Amino acid sequence: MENNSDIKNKTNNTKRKKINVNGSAYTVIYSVIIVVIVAVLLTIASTALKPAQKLNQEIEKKENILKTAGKTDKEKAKTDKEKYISEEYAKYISESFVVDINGNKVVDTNVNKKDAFSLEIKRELIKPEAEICLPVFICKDGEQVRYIFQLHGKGLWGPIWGYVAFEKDLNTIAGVVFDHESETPGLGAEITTEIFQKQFEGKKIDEENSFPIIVQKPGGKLNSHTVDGISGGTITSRGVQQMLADNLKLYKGFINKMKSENNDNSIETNDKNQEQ
Amino acid sequence: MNSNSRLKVFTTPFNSGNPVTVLVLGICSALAVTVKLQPAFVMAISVTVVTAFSNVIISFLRNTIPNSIRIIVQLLVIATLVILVNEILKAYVYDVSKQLSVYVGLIITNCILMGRLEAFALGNKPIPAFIDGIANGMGYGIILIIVAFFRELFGSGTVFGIQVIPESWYVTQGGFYLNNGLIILPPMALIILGCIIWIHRSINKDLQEK
Repeated sequence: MENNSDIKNKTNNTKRKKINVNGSAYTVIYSVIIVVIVAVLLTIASTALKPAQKLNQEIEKKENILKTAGKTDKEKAKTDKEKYISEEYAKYISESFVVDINGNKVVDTNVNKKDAFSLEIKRELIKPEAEICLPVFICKDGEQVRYIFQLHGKGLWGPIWGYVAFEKDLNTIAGVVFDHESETPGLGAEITTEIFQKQFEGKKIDEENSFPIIVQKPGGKLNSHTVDGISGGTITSRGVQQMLADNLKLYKGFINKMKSENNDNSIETNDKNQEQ
Repeated sequence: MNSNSRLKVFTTPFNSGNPVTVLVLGICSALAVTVKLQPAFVMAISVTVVTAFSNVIISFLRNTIPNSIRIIVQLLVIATLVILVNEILKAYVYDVSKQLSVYVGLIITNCILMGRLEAFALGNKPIPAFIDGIANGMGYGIILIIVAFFRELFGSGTVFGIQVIPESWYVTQGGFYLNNGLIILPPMALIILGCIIWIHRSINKDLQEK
């Protein structure tokens, strides 16, 4: 509370001069001064704290990406989270790049640097389809390969977002992470809980890529495309379903491309095996 | 101001001058953040801190503030403090700031702050104003936590996120119990609040209007 002393000094000064506190001139000057003080204070605070805030956001993003791929350990992350997350990220996320709607890698021709990590998906989604850029992260752990896509959609009160990781077949979900800005605690905000997110593991998006992951009313029968929604959080649950459908539709180009590449590769390796 | 009257400043908000049950301030946030105990608790602490410090600042400024713009000046002080708190939390305790997210904004609109600034800080010295801020924040917080306790227990079966009602009781696990979905919705908070006011008034007879 360093500004307290400033204010105190001002109080004393005005007392000594005995100015009419309710006069118009005084009121105008007073409001100008106080607004300037506040503006300067807030600007300083905002500028000074920006780097620390940005770092926190980056760490959180990395943590979410790792969590989606199932590569974080809660206990280990507790002590010196920053270092742990950065190390794990460098270890597992072998590649990250940007693809367009047809699944081709976007080569950086623009002045704006397009790297997958700092790409703001929120801004991409409002562009015309041909210009949309989508981030892809690839997590490699020995033989295991997982593809991580970013999601962004609407909840009840505000935006919801998240990540989804696919197994190598690009059909089976390996994990999801959801987050939200202002959903109701106890209702819509339950999408951030592990219980809700765990349900998505092992679910399949269709062979025809119609992406029918359905978040349905709890209590119904479940199959490989459905998960239980949150009672009382219907609109947020539907938002999650819609987000998955909308975003994965955009990734369809990439998914199809990777699928055919994977098939080619497996045929090639089969051929080689036969030759040997 | 002697220590006796300071003590009175401190104790009033817990009983005959409680901001929620007697002055009926801060009802909106009492409905909004009491679905779970944790946000209620965090909100209680934040409001206490912001009330205390805005009380102190306004109390220092009280002789300089032109009467015609005093509300705006109060609002400015509150909003500045809230934004500063938010920025600092974001930079140094990111996890906490994520939990707070929307509630931080709600502090600005909390009637208790403006109410205390108008009613107390404008006419008193900084130290009593500080005590008054702390006490009112706590008086508000206690009510918030009581309401949140009942709403979380019956609405989600948990207390501070820990499962209290055994899992095996639930219908989905073959039991007989279902969480009360109604209690999660704001109207039930109002009913619980009504019950608290009722109990409070039947204990403290001075509060009953004749």
